[in-house]
Amino acid sequence: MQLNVQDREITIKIVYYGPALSGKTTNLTAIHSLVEDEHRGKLITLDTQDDRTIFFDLLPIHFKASGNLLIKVKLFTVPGQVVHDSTRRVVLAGADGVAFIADAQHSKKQDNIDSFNNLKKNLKLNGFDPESMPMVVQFNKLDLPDTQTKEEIEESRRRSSHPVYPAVAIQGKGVIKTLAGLIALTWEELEKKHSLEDKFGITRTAFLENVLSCLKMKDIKAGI
Amino acid sequence: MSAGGILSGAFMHREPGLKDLLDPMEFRELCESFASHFKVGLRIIDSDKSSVIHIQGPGELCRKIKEVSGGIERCTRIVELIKQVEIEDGAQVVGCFTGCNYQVFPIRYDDRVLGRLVFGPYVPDESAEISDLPPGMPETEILENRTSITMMSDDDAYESSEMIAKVVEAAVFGGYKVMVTSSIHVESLSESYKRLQEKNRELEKMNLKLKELDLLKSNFLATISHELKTPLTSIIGYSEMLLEGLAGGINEEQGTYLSTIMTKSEELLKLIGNILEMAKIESSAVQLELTPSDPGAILENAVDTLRPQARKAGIHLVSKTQIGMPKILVDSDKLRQALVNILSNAVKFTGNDGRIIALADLIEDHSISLKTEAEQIFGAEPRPMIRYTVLDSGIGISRDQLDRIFLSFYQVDGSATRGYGGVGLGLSIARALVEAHGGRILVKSATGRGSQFTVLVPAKVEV
Ligand SMILES: Nc1nc2c(ncn2[C@@H]2O[C@H](COP(=O)(O)OP(=O)(O)OP(=O)(O)O)[C@@H](O)[C@H]2O)c(=O)[nH]1
Ligand SMILES: [Mg+2]
Repeated sequence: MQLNVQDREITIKIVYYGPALSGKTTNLTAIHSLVEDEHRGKLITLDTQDDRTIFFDLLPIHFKASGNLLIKVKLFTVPGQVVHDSTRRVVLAGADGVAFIADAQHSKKQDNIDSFNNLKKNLKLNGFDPESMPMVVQFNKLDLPDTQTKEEIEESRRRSSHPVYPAVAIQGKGVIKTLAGLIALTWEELEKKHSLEDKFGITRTAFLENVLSCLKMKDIKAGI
Repeated sequence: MSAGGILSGAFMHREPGLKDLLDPMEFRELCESFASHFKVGLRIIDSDKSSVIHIQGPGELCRKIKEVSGGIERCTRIVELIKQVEIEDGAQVVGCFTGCNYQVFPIRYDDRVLGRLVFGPYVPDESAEISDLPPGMPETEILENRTSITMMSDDDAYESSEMIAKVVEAAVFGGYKVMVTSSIHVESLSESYKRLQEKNRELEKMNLKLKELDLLKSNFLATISHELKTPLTSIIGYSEMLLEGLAGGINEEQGTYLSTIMTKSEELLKLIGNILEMAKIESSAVQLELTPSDPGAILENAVDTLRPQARKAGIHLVSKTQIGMPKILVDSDKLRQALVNILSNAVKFTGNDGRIIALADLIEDHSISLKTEAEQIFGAEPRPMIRYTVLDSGIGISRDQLDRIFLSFYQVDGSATRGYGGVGLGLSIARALVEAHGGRILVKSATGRGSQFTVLVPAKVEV
C-alpha cells in the first residue's frame, strides 16, 4: 500500500492469482467493462502468446471516498502457467490482497490445489504471513458442464477460512462481488495495521459504502 | 502514479519519461508524416523540458528571423513560453510576434502529464497582427514569408493537434507496455539470479556443517555400537557358557539368575539396534527404494516373522489378504519392518489366549486426502490406499496416552513395560517408515478392550 496523507491519496494493490487459464485476465476484462469509465483507467494486458499472460495485466481503478480521499486500486493478474513462477513472485510483491481465481471444472481440482500451494509458498518468499493476507476465493466458469455443484461450493465455503464466490467471469457474473469482497477485507486489514481512520478520518463503514456504491451501480445494471 | 510504482524493484523508483517510452527513430517517421500532412512544424517536449522530437515547418521565416539582430532573443522567449505554459487543465495557444500561433497540447498517461506536443507555427488568419518586430526586419518581409506558412483557424489547429496527441498517447501506452515488460523480465531474471546465489551460499554453508555433523554422527554411532555392543555380546556369551556348565556345575537358582541375565542382555542388544535404526531415520530422511511389490505378500511376510513369538506367548495369530490387489510402488523391506514393529507391539501387549488379526485390503480413502488447506477448499480426489489393519485383544491404550505412543522411548505404562519387556521405539520407527511412503498410522483403542492399528499407504501403481 502507498499512503499519501498530504494529497489524501491511498493506493492499494490487489493481485489475481490462480492456475493457468482459470480466468484471471477475464476477470479484469469484465471489471474493465462493468465499472463506470470515470472510475477506471486503461487496461494493460500483456498477453502475447496465444492469449496467455506472460508478465501481468494491470487495471487501475479509483474512486473518491468521503472527505475528498482518493482511493486508487491497482488490479494485477499473474501468469498462471507453472513455468512463470519468478514472475508470479515479483508481481505478488507488495500485494495488499489476493483474489484466488479457481477453475471450477472437476478436472482442474489438482491445478487449483497446486496453484494455491504455490501462492502460499510465494507469499512466504515475499516475507508475508500467508495467514494474515486478505484473500478471497472465486470458483469461476460455473457455466461449463461438470463443474463444482452448489453443494460442493457450500462445502468449500464451510471448510475455507476465506470468503468464497461463484462466478462466470466471461459473462461478468460474480466478478464485482469478488472484488468488492476482497477490497472490504483488505481495508479491514490495512485499517488494523495503519489505523487509516485516524489518518484520514474515514470510518470503515463509510469507506465500504463508498466503494461498494461505486462498484455496485453498474453491477446492478448488468443484471447480476 | 505509474503501474510500476507499486510493484517492487528498481525500475519502479523512477517515473519513465517520454524518452524512455517512445522509440525516437520510428516515432520520428510518424511525426514527419503528420508534419508534412498538415504542413506545420511539430515538436514533442519531455516533462524535463528537453526536446524529444523537433520537425521544422515549411518556409524560411524562422531561419531568417534568427539571422537578424534581436531575432534569436525573441525566438528563445517564445520557445521558453511554449515549454513553460501551464497545460495541466488543457491545451493552450501561444502566439509569436510574427502573428503565427502554436498549439501546446498535453500528452497524458495514467492521469499524469508526461510532456507536451507543440503544433505550429500556423497563421490563424491573414490579418494576424505583427508586434514587437526585431530591428532590421521590416514588416513586409515577414508578411511575404508568412505566405509559405500554413493558414488554419485555431479551432482546426486544435482538432488536428488533438488527433496527433491521441496517437502519441497510444504510442506512449505501447512504449509503456514494452518498458514494463522488459523491466519485469529483467527483474525476474535478476531475482532468480539473486535467489540462486543466496541458495548457493546457503548450500555451501550447509554442506560444511553437514560434513562436520556427519563425521560427528558416524563417530558417535560407531562408538555406541562398539562400546555397548561388544561388552554385551561378551556378557551374553559368558552367561551362555556358564548356563551350559562349561565352567562347572551350577545349581537351579544360579541357572534362573543366569537366564534372566541372558534375556535382559538380549533385550538390551535389541534396544541398541533400535536406537541405531532410529538415529539413522532421524538424521536423514528415510531413503526409499521403490519397487512394484505385492501388498499382501508384505503382510504375510511380516506375520510369518512374528509367528514363533506369538506361539510362544500363546497368542492366536491370523492374517487375511484381499485377493486381486495391484502391485504397488513401495520399499517392501521398510514397509515390512513397519508392520513387524506394529505386530510385535501387539504380541507384547496381548496376553495368553489372546488373538491378533492382521488384514490387508485396498480402499478409496477420502479422509486422508483432506489434509492441506488447499485440499480442504478445492476438495481432492479420493485416492486409492492400501490399508493394513492389526487388531489385538490386548490390554489396550487409554485415551490420553493414544497420541503419545509414537514418541521415541515412550511406553504407555512404566510398570507394564517391565511386565512386557521392550521399549517404545518400535512404533516411532514404524511411523517414520510409513510416513516416508506418504502414508500414516491410525490407532483406535480403549483400556482393556484391545487395540486397532491401521496403516494407510498410497497405492501408487505407475512407475
Ligand atoms: N466458459 C467459460 N470460460 C471462461 C470463463 N472465464 C474465462 N474463460 C475462458 O478461459 C480461457 C482463459 O481465460 P484467461 O482469463 O485468459 O485465463 P488466465 O487465468 O488469465 O490464464 P493465464 O494468463 O494463462 O494464467 C479463455 O478462453 C476465457 O475465455 C467463464 O466464466 N466461463
Ligand atoms: Mg491471464
